[in-house]
Amino acid sequence: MSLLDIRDLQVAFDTRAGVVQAVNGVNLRVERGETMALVGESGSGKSVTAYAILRLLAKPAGRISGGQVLFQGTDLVQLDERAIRAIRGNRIAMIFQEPLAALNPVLSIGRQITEAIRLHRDASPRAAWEQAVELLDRVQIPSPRQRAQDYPHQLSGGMRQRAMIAIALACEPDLLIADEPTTALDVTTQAQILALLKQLQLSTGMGLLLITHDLGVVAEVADRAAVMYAGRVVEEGGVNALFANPAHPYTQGLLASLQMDRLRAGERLPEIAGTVPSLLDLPEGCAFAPRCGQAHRLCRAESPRLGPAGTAQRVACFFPMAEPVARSLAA
Amino acid sequence: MKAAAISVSPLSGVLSVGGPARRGWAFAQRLLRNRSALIGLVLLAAVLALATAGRWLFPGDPWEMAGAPMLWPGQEADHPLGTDFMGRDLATGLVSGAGVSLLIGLVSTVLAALVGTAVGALGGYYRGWVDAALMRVTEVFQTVPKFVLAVVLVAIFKPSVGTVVLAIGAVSWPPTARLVRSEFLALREREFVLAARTLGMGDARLILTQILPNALPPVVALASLSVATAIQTEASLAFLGLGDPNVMSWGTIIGGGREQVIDAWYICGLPGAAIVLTVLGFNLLGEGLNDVLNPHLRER
Amino acid sequence: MRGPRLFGAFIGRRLLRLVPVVLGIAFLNFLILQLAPGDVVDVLAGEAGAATPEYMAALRAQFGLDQPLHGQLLHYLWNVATLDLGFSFRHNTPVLTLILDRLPATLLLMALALLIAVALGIALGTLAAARVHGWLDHLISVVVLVAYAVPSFWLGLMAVVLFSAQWGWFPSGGMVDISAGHAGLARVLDVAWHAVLPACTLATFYLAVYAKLTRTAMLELHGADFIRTARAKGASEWRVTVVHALRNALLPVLTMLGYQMASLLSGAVLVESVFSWPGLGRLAFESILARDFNLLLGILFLSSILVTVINTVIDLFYGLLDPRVSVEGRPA
Repeated sequence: MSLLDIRDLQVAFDTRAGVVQAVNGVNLRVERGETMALVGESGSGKSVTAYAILRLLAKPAGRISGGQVLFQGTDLVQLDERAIRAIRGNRIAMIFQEPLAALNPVLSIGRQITEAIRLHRDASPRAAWEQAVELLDRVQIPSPRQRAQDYPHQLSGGMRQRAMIAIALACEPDLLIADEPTTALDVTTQAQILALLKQLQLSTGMGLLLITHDLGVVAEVADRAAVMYAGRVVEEGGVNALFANPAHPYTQGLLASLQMDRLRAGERLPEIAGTVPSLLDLPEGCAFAPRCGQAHRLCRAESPRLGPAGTAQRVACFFPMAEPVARSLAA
Repeated sequence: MKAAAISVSPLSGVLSVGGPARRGWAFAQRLLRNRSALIGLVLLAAVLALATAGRWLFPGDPWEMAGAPMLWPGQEADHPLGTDFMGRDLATGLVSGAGVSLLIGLVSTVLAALVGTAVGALGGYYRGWVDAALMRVTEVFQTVPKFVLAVVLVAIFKPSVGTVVLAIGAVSWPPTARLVRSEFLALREREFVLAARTLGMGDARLILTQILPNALPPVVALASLSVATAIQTEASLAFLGLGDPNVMSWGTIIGGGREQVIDAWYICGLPGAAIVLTVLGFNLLGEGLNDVLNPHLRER
Repeated sequence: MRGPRLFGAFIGRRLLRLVPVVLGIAFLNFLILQLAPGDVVDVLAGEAGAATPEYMAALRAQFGLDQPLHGQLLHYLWNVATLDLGFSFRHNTPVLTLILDRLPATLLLMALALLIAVALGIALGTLAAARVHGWLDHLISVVVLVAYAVPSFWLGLMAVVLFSAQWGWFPSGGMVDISAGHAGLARVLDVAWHAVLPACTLATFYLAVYAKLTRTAMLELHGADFIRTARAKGASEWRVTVVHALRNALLPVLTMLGYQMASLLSGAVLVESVFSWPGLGRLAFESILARDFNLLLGILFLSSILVTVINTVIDLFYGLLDPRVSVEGRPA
């Protein structure tokens, strides 16, 4: 049984302009001890998917309109408020993108960690504080005992993110969801945080769901990756296979736009023509069809579902690419 | 060099093309669509009607002892709102009070707005020691309890419509000054100011024709709220006996009816209700103006 | 703001900023005296005509009226610095003594009103934010709107009519029941009973201010990232609202409190007049009637000082609550 099994998840937002289908049928699996990267550009629905797992969507506008989120067999979508709270921060933990904004400015770091502990475990304030110091040490923050008394604004960006990780690890979760954990950090710190996450995962054996738009990060730490476009997963598989043989035209385009070392002088940068469709008004059929170089009449009529393509790779396309094609995908 | 019809004003968020008349009309439409502003305007129209049409419906001197004392509202057709302990007609008094409140409220606010804008503009534009000095003065006026200062001023300079207006103006200018100052501090860094300076525009012209029109929208919203406060202050002064002795204001009526409040509470009740409605009107209008003119400050 | 050394620097800095303000207030007083119609001494002696020629001569000497203007200013500033605020001929007591005598009553009223306004205001604001756009939110908004518009003196009168005359729940004025001659706990209760109506009347306007402010602050925090983190930790809605959101929403409320101090004192003046509460306000009212301007100016000066002192205390409090605050003080 998978650690996390998302089946055909649908998330809708009620806005003044209409209903926005932010997530339109996502299928995803994360196993123990595995790092799964959820990749996509802004607006693809990757963060929304992550929030939906722990039911953190902004009420009342956001709601899970369909599908299941099976965590070790239990459907999280069906749980009541108390049950989901027992899981949050306890069995499934989450860290966020902007650590300064994500930490309460008027409480000390130590306080915020002990809160996470005491919400789910029977621990005296003293014992919890000791644990907090230990956790800060584990995330490689120097002088953890002093740092525990500091406030978020007194720490650097990298240390704040480590503190967030410490909070997340407080109750030894089975699954850690990281929503763009390194986007707000500088490149050196990024590498350190990623290394830390990987190391923690190896030592605890927890599953790690990493949300990112950065393919470099994916290559660095992920075992498997799922590519999202306009609210759906369009391709999924092992990172190596995915990078070597992308089957979906969108994935191809993404990877092609990274290969700038193959450019000759005077050549245009490779790009995917067109723009992401409005989620208020998704086209019939495949959402990528308007921008796809090889779109067929079938693609515009029906929406492809995830199906196998090669070993352990799945793609949602009627005409998956067998080999890498030319760089530019102008329509 | 006359500017083209397209303006750089924040008001241009309402409509960016067209002459001043068209923009004004579009603005009025947006204002009327705002619920707070609409209710506010209705209330104010009622008060204005009371002050003007009321004069015609209830002519006469409010100080005149027109009827039997302590008549309840509806007791006698001649005095639909009753009379006070001296037999003065309450309806006539309310009409007089409406005129006084509106007059004093508006004039003192305009005065405070002028002073406040001048102080804020100079401090915000020139900065440095000018700003520091003006800010200290503003701080002093904000530390001194406003009403106590107004009382002192009116008491010492003998109560009259003039001293009341001046006193209220003298205590009400700091918030406007602060607002205009922060607007100027922000606006003076903008590119259109730099552009005007490159054209060789002098300071005075820059301040008056370029920056000030852009700084005014929040001032207008604040002004409406200030009128509400001014009317409250005027009523409070009149209640304490510091109003112009020749003029009957709502506060005067309440102050006069104080002794009989237990038996004839309507003498205090009616003018007080009138104050509440008028203040409410200006408050709602001010909120509506704020919504329309400063949408980015709007709360959820 | 950590450490006793920084704390000392903080206090020192704030006290230093007080000096120009106090000077400014004294100068303002002086200016008013000079601009007033008639001789300064005429103004100070009042119109009641009860001043004797000797008193007038004494006043002239005290104010150094034979000296040029800047001499008079220095004289006045010196008097003020030594807290020599003059003499009230009507009460036959030094002004300072009179004011200090009545000050506790006013402080009590202000404190009670503030307590009610802040506690109830925050509660209503939080409730409105929690049920935003619902019927409770709309109801609270309407109540707040009206509370904002009601003149305090009128509200006091109407409250007396209803709660005192009609229903007999509370006394209509005064601070204690003199005839009963209570002592100890009974006296405390007696004062409390007398204080209910005036404190509630004074609190009404500020209740509206804080309710509105809290609602806005809580709504802004609603989508804040750290609120989401708290939820992700598994905290209950109650905990998220109180421990996380409210703790941060209190900061702007505290800032507003500082700005409202002057206004609160002004409001107390009016309310005391209506309820015959024996405080500074009542004293001011009496001095208006008696045209005792010396006393009035003394009240103006001391109440301004009071506002400054309270503001400094609030600044300190803010520094304790918000760890981001530096020695400079709370954000403007």
